[in-house]
Amino acid sequence: MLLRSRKVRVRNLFISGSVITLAITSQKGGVGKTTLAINLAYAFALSGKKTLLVDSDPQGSVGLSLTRQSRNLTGFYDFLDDSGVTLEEIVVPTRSEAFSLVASGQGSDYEMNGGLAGSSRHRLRIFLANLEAAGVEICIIDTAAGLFGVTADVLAACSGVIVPQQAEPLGVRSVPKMLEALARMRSVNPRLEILGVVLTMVQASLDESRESALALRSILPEEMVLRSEIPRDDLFIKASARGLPIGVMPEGSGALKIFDQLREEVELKLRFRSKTR
Amino acid sequence: MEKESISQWMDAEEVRALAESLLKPLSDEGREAAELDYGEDFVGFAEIPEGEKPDASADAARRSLSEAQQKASSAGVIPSATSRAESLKQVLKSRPEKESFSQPSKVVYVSKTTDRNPHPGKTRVKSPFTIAPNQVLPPVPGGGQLSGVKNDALHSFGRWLMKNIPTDTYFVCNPDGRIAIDEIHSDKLIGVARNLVSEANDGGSSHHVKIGKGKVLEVIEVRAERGTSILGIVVPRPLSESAVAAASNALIKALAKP
Repeated sequence: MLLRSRKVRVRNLFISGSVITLAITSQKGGVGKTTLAINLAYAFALSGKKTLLVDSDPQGSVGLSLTRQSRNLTGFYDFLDDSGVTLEEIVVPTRSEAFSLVASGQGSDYEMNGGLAGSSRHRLRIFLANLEAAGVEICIIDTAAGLFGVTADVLAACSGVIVPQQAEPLGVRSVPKMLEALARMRSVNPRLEILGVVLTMVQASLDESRESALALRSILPEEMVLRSEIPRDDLFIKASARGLPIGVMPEGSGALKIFDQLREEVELKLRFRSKTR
Repeated sequence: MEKESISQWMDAEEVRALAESLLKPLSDEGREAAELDYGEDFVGFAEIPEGEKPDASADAARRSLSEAQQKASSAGVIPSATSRAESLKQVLKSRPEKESFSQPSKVVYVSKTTDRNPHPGKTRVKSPFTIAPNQVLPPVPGGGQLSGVKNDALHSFGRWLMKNIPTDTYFVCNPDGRIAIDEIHSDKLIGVARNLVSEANDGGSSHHVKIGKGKVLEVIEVRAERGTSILGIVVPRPLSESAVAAASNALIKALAKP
């Protein structure tokens, strides 16, 4: 009886009420983290979930992609630094009612120093705790490359992580290091769900890219690699130039479909795992 | 063809095993990540008193520990850590929080073995850390028996620990985050230990946290073959470097593949 009620409680955690916080992270830079974060968040918003996209990369890639004034915006790092800054002050609404974002803000100190300390870590937890009161259902956090510093702090507080992995030989070779780093993070945050690796920048016309994707799928367990693959597409660059998610572009319906499939996969995983807990 | 080319770069079986372990849910749901921050009552890091240089035996122990860790650790990336001094500065300059989020607890980082305090017993603690003033750590069942430990090697390690270190209250957290031995019975202390290791993030350090009168939580990060484990031991006073090295090596051996 006790077990039964426990299961119900945990399932409810994902299906209603509590916010799902997903970090998009990878050991390697340039694998498409920001592209994945922006477009997955947009797909969640289109599905009707109130979605917040947070830029925890001090370089401010999300802001630079989606807003022209990103460097002037008060953002994530300002919230961490100053207990007087509220969540409402840093949330930037978009034309889509369900989709809002938090820019990285003034994070130059963190670019130099790496991780958070003491009260800043506490502020990170407050930030996440405030999301539910703000009505956010899913929070997607784009992180800087590498699983250390602020990214490690984010992972220590998130409920799940998705790892974009470039479909090329070098990307595949870096997988062991990524797994080791994730194992380390799980020892710090036992709640952290590894939702899977997403193959990005897949080039069907290039043997090396195709073979790398196959190799990764053959090495890792099936449930570790998400079925959806993100192709290399010039449209991402065009979308970024216009400050838009790719799905908003006139020619973006195909890409939007891929991210929506990915969104469905992620949701299924969250439901499945909460049921098996 | 694909497998062959990639196998030149990695041990595919080992990678798969690690990936599978990451997909398994961890059993200790109760250890919420919310415990991992210090909370609004964080006092700050205590200064380590100026002391003598470590003696030769301490150096030897450190070398031994370092070698063992290097040998045991796989080719994982050791991330750059925020320096302790920077952490100290950031903490000291930070403003007190007003929000109430986690249970208040005062945490004082007393010292760190890698900072090489040669006489840990003489460390002066500015402000003692008490998790809960009335918290009493439960005694361990007698006879050196470990509850809930199925692994023989870890069982032997537990016996070794109790024989060689003045403790009967300790825990071991596996590289996958599971609690392999829990003779400490305190989620809060385990959370503090995880947090210290996370924050230090420098591989192979140990930390002493005063948790009450005559009680110190010694947190030892052990980099073993399968990844990073955390050993937490409640002792009357901080362990010497040689004792930390010995405990680390014993755990590395216990965790090694048969």
